[in-house]
Amino acid sequence: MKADALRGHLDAMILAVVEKEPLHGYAIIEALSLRSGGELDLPTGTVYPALRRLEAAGHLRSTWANGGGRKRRTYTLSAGGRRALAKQRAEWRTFSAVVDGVLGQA
Amino acid sequence: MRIRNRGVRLERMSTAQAYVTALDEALVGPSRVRRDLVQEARDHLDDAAAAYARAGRDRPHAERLAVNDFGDLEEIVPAFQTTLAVASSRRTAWMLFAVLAIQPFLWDGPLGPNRPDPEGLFYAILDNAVEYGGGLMILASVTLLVLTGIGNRWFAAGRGIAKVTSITAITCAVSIKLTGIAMVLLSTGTSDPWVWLLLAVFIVVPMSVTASHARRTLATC
Repeated sequence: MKADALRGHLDAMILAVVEKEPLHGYAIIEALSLRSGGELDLPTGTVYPALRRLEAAGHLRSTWANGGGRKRRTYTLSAGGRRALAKQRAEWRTFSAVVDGVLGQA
Repeated sequence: MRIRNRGVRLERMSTAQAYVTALDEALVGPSRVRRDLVQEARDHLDDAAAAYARAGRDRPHAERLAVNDFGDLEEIVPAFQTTLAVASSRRTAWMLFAVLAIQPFLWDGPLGPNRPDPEGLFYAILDNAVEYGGGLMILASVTLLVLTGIGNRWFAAGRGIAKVTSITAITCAVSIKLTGIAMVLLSTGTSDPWVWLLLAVFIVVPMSVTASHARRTLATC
């Protein structure tokens, strides 16, 4: 799968992996890799600016919390982030249904 | 010599340490945000190298793999630098707004009533510049606050807005400072130390600090 196509949805995917519980950066990247079946092949360092961008946008909140014997910056989905995720999910479902409806006919 | 010493210093470090040090040295911006970003990178590399080590790689190999996954500095530094530029521009916008917001109260208040308006075209031009130009500057500072703050909710403000914010702040701060000094010099109340104190405390110092911060923000862009 083309990495560029996935990168366009990186923000929504990050919001989705922190939906259930707060996670630190490395755990978020591991979850992204696991859920994408290893297809999301991007430099892991580029995820951190994306996390800060989402925090600046009010979609994530971050705190330094103890985890694994040391302090780590942990990201939590905010109420605004939950709304943004729900909106992006709805848009994606509509988009994929439309594309699937057209491409799926053989 | 400095570059050679730096090379020798980096050679003595582990791959992950050398990478984090190079990243830290390449970044410019607010120290707390920079420190946090670099610490996150360090934590990530520790975790990733530990995971590779658990999978059977020796430590040096595990660190090389972790660094390789993290990305080339040529790609990572610009992305991290954007984060710093956004953070710095937000502060610059707040500072500009704060120092401009007090100006109307200053010129209509303590500096105003004690300042006999001297006749003269140059003074009149300066007076109008403060009146109308000042209003436009306040409007610009509010716009920049929105763009660097709430604007991030609608679009990624990035380095472009940071650059506009810093250039606008430098222009506003320098012009207000020079205009303020010129107006006091042209007025007949220049012998009053109270006027000079107000000028220093509410115009010269805050405008200089704002311009200095804006120059630092420009360096992050």
